[in-house]
Amino acid sequence: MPEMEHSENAAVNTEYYQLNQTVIRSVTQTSRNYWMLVGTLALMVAAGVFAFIHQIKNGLHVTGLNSPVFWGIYISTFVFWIGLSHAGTLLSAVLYLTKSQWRKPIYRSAEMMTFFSLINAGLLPIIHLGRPWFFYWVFPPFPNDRQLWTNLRSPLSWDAIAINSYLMGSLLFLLLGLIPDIATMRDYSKGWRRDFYRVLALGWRGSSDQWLHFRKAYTMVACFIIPLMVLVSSIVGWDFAITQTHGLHSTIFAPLFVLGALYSGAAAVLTLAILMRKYLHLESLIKIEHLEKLALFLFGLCLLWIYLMLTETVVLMQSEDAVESALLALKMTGPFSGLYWTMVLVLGICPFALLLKRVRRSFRHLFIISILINVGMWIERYLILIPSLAVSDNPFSWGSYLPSLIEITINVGLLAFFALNCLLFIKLFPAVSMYEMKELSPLNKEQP
Amino acid sequence: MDRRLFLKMVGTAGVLGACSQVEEPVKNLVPFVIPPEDVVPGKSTGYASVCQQCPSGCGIVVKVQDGQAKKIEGNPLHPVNQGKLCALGESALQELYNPDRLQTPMKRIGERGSGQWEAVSWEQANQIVVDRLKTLENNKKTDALYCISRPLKGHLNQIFNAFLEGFGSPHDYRYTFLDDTVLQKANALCFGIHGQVEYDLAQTNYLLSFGANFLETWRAPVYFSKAYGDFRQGKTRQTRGKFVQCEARMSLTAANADQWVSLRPGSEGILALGVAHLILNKGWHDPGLSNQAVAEWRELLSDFKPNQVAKWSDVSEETLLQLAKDFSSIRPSLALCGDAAMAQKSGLFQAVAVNILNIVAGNIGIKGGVQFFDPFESIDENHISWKEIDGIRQKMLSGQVQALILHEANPLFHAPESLRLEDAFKNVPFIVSLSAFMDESSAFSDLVLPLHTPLESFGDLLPSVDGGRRSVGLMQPVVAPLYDTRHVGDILMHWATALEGSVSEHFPWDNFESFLKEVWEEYFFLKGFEDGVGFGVDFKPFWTELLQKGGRWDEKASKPKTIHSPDIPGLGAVIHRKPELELLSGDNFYFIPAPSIFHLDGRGANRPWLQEAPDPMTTITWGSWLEIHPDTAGQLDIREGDLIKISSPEGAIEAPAYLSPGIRPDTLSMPIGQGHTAYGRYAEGRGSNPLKIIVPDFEAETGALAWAGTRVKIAKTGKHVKIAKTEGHTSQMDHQMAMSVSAEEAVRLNQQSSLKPIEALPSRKGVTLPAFFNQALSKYFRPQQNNQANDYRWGMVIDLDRCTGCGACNVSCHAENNLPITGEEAVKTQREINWIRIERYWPKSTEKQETPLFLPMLCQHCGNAPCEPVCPVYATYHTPDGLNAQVYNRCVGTRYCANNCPYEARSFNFVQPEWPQPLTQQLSPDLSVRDAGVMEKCTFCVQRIRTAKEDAKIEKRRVRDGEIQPACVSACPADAMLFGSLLDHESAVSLAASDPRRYRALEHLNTESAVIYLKRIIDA
Repeated sequence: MPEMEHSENAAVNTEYYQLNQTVIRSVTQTSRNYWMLVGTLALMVAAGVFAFIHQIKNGLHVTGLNSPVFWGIYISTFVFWIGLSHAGTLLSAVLYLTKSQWRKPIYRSAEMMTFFSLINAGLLPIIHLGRPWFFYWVFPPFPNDRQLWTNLRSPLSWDAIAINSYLMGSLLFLLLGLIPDIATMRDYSKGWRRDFYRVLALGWRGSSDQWLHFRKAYTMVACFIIPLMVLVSSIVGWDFAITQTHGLHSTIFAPLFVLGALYSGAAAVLTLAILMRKYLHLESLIKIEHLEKLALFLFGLCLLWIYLMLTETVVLMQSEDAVESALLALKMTGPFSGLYWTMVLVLGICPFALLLKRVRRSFRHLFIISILINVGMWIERYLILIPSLAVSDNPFSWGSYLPSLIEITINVGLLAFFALNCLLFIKLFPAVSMYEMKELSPLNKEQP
Repeated sequence: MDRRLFLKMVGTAGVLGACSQVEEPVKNLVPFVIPPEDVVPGKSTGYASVCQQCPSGCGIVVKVQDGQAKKIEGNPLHPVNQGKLCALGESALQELYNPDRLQTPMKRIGERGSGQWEAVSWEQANQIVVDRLKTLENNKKTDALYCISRPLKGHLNQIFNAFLEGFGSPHDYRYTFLDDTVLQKANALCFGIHGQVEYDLAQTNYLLSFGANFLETWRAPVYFSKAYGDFRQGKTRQTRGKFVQCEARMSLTAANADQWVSLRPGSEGILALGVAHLILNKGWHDPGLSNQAVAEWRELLSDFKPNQVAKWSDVSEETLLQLAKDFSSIRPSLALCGDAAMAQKSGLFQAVAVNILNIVAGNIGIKGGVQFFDPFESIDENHISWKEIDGIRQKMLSGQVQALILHEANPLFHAPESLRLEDAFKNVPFIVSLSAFMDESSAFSDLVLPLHTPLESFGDLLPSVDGGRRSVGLMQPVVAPLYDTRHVGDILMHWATALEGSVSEHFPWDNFESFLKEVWEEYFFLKGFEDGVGFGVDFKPFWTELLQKGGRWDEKASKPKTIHSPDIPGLGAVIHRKPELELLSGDNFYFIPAPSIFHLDGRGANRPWLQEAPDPMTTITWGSWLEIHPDTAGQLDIREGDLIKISSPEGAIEAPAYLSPGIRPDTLSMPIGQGHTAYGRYAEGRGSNPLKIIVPDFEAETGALAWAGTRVKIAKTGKHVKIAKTEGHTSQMDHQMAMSVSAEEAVRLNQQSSLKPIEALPSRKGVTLPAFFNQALSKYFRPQQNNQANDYRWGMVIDLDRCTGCGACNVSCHAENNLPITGEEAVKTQREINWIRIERYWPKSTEKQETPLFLPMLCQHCGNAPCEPVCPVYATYHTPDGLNAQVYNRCVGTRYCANNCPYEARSFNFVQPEWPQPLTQQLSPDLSVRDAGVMEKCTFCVQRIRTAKEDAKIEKRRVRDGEIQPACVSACPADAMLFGSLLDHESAVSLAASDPRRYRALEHLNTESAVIYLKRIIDA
């Protein structure tokens, strides 16, 4: 049987070689279009930076913020980015622990998304500050000569701690999971890339004890990061729920935000996977079967979302408080009704199309639905925040809000920043986990 | 470099270094080695003076720190305002430090009114005037010199008289837009008295006002606001006074009434006589009237039958009967007649009619009625009516006016377009304007001489009312003149001296100050005072004492004069000139220009505080608007902000529509005061001036302008603007922010004896937590409240039954706390900064009560504040004495606190605040100026609390009750606010807080706020 074994090994080697080559090609080869895209995105980021400088110079009156709507799309978009950041943890950690095989081709991109969307999420509250140059006052405890601490009763302090922990945790998780692949890249590359990868590979040789420790460490970080994920979203929910503001002080907010985060995160992973498959030529690795699983998962989340939304709305409807009825009217029939019903359509009705096999096995349909869900989730966050602030307990101060061009520019700049980060990342690191794809190979006998 | 070179260089450098040690010049941190006696660095000094912003004559105390005026407070000793002050009075600081003040004499170089000026020196300017006057003298045309001045009401009048008389001109006139010549004439007709009339509002029990806006602009608003507060909730009163206001447009005064009777504009007198007729016919009249008098009255008023009156005035007969019944049965009662009512062609009729009503009900000369007193001194001024101005205009056109002196009079702003006063001015060869500002009339003159503002001047002033406590106020300069300006008296004296001849003989004094001293010395020695000083006493210390006190006045009111019954048939001439009922034809509307509570007749428009202060009834800032009833607007498809063209036969203006239920559907109203074409950056080109389209009709007898008698048409222009207003939702729905009770309910509440102290107010309803949990909660989550034995818990009580909604607190707060002026755009985008605002809530249409409720909203300094736990950096925290402190330098601007404040009492600095020079001189050094990106809010004037606490500490005592008055409390003209420690159960604020009408706003949120409101009573 040695012959057989040999040929089998050869087949494995060939397949692994091809897999390696596919992935490495996607990392090292860049087209003209790629650089044009990078350039465009960089310009958009620059526009955002200029807008921010303008805002610092002139004060927040360049935004649409006012009294009583003191928080605007900076904060609603912050929640949106927090939501996106849940994708990586969900796909990597949760599905890793539940041993779902279909996660493997897409989890790396999901982790990347987690990290970069968290950076955006972390930047937004700073951009939102009246005096952003003092943002570090929020972090406890920084050295200071007045013995002033941060107020740990404030959810914003919790935010600062939670987002930072999550950012660090997800960076660790991402880099840890990259080690075997970086080692592969190191072995296949020359020049600066080789030096770069050598440092990050941390001396990985693929020995069995290294694999053993690697698996242990990866599982441990995965276990650590899942509660963080739930915590971050819950704390963001508490940012709102802990206030006295009608429409925000609802106990359902923590679960609603965790769920919303998963929902938008999963949809974003779907979007990203489809894009990468197409533009990085990973057709052989990312298959419709994987995405179909994700689509069904999305549908499940959709049902949960409908349940939570109904709960919240019914509670509001039963309230005898004038402000809460006004709030509901504002959303359902008032100036926000267009957005509201779009949201209901996109988040509550569209995903039912996934029940059709034809839809969930079509890359194009999945792409459209995934984009729509994230648009819907952005609207949901907008609708949670803005109308609730516009109508408060004191009717004399009721107001309205429209984001200004500066706010929109900064937020678009951040979206571009996210895309730019992702684009640069996939040309530095393999966007698809090579070693986990190898585990998936039918030739791999040690299928976990 | 070798070793030798190195050593050489080190040596050279060392020697040079040692030689170059020049001694630093000594710099002193404290420049006052021997400070002036009354100046303590960092402490303010109060200088008493008199407010010149309107003719009321309120006494003021100006806080001066380091030579700069910082804040104006009312003079607590003064009989007119008794320590209170209105918004206009507060804004005198922005007159003093106005960036648009004239700094040198200006000579016109371009066309008249073209706005091209050249700065000239005082010598040149005076020479120009003197040359002109000499030419007139030489041509024997001295009577071609005219002088129009604002009413002076003091001894400055004597200077003007002397100058014109000495020069040989009889044309020395006084002009102001809102004068009371009609009322004076009516009183002369009815009572045979030319003199001060007093309305004893504070003591009356039933007040029936015919358009008298005594809380806003009528006569002496601060005096009447104080009296109004006592009329409602005075401590010595047995019952609360009832107040009914009859007018076409619900003014702020009407909004405070128990009942607003909406009548057809111009029918006020008819309604008054209708009530009088009913009183006479039912036999409810004054029992003191002789049978013959009653018969004569009945005869005189026989035309005013209820059905006729009801038809004329559009007031139902039931209301008429109710008014008659109440007016005659509730004693004493009082009827007032206001400006808009008298600004009709039949103005005298209206005023006489209201007098007759008072006579018939027996309200003359009694406590709580109409009283007449002898003033301390009467100053006869030659007031001119608009009819006389029209006469002067014709003389100007015929070339009889060769030179015109204008003194702080601005007829060009008030003149209706159709009078073409500007054309007449063009025909005057020489106009010199004496004014601190380039107003419309000054802009049309040849030479403008800049005057001191009142805070830089000496002077004296007879108040228009003083409750019979014969008084005269004394002004003194509180700061050194800011610019090269002069006192008007000095200017006239200078001219007189330069003219030589007979004029100069009238002026033996060096300057106005010495003249004033001499006049007062004359008083002192010849006339004598009742104050216990007399001959043989040195005048100098007495003068100092007068200046310190701010004038002299009697400690007690003198006895009112006895009034003889009028010649009843003699009044027939006036009564028979009653206006005929003219129903509106076609699409015409009644048009009522309303004097603004802040800008009065337009003079306040150049003060940014007043521009930014929200109009009490509409909350509109920085502009003018057209008030229109929602039903009318609905019929014409007009929405708020639609630009409306308002046209009368004499012209057209445009203004945005504002829908208000407080106006008759057939009436439109616009505020007076905006629409300036000159008068500085804050006033120019803002809004429109309703007086421009007034039809120049005059009151037949007195010649007063009938500015409320015009009919207009309106049309949409198709344009739309956003109105800069501060209100959000117009109704409070079922949120109990501003609360009211009926009169019966208030009586019932009063009879309940079980009053609990304030700590026992219901809190934390429903859930009772275990003790250990509460302890833990306190220890870890509310440490500030427990870690010290608290001496004080600062709190405030606001009596909504006294609060008139006038907005003086807002402006006073701006002055005290360095609040920035955010501007019109900021108000439009809801970014204005107010630490205290008046919230005006219209009732929901389902409610019976019609009047809106006013609620002063400021930081409630909650004991359990929602803003405190959410700040991540402790920029807002709880002080041991119960304040919600806001540490500006610590604030990073998350704005979480503002989101979490259910009262929306916090303001955010969206821009870096800026003050044009020299407005910065007004900024108080006692607290910081906030940066962009920082949250701010009411601090209960923490700087005043700290000062008082430090004083108390030095004197080793506790802070006395009433020692601390935040700026809003000290200004509040109606005395609606009280401040003090709630821990002290004897303090005024604690006692007031145990009133059964007390409540806290949004109490169900368990914020344990320190501001306690007392519900308004509506006796409808």
